[in-house]
Amino acid sequence: MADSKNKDFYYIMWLPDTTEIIWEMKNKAQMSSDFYLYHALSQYIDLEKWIEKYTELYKDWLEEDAPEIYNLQNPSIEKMLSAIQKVNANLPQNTKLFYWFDVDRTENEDFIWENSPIDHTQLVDLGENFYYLNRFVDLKNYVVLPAQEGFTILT
Amino acid sequence: MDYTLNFIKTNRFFLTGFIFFASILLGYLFYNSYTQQSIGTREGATVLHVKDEIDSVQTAQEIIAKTRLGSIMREFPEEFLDNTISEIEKLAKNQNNSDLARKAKKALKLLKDGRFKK
Repeated sequence: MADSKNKDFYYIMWLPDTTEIIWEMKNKAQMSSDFYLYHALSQYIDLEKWIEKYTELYKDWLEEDAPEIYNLQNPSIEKMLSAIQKVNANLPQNTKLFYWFDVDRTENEDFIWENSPIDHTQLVDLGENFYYLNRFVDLKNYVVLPAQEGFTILT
Repeated sequence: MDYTLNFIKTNRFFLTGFIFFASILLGYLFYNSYTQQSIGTREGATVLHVKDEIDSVQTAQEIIAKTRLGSIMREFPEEFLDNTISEIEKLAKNQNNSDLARKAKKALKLLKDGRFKK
């Protein structure tokens, strides 16, 4: 389990009809649009366009079963991952921005994350202080993944 | 022997008090460890059965109100609000009504998508 004290971890997670896509990781708190990381991120990616494109991808999955939102090699998602890497390069060591990702739970409801979906290295467990849906991280590629519901209670 | 009896007589108030407080302390420690063990078992049992219970008892509306972010309602098909997840799963497999099945699948996708969980 990683030492998660004094870590300011945030992540990108899209929701319908909002431009506030940055969340605080420990408590899943949505950060308002004047939060400094939006500005930092917008140096490397057009956030408005990205949100528009991701909305299309999400709707394609929701209505048509198109699975592209679950493809980390999708150009839009790759673009965001690349921007996150660049933002993190300029942040203090205890502050990091991640990309929230999961499998399609309709197809695989009980899937348990153990390895990074990008390079298959073992994920780091941030521990019980973190909200269970933001508990596992790939610290090299800056991806955050959920633990199973109830995980913290059972251990 | 005489010394012991004298000691007890002389310190009987102190000894009575000591035994009284020691009994309370032991009682508290025993009760505490017992209830913690019971709670642990109950929580474990809850975790193991909670999914089936939610799927078959609670309606989508109840699940959304308690455990999902409000923004899920921007996309959620309202006709399934009074159905349980188990019922929606059956409707999603209904081959006689493809439109209903498609909408039920959409409802399931939203309910199971972790981004909407509180």
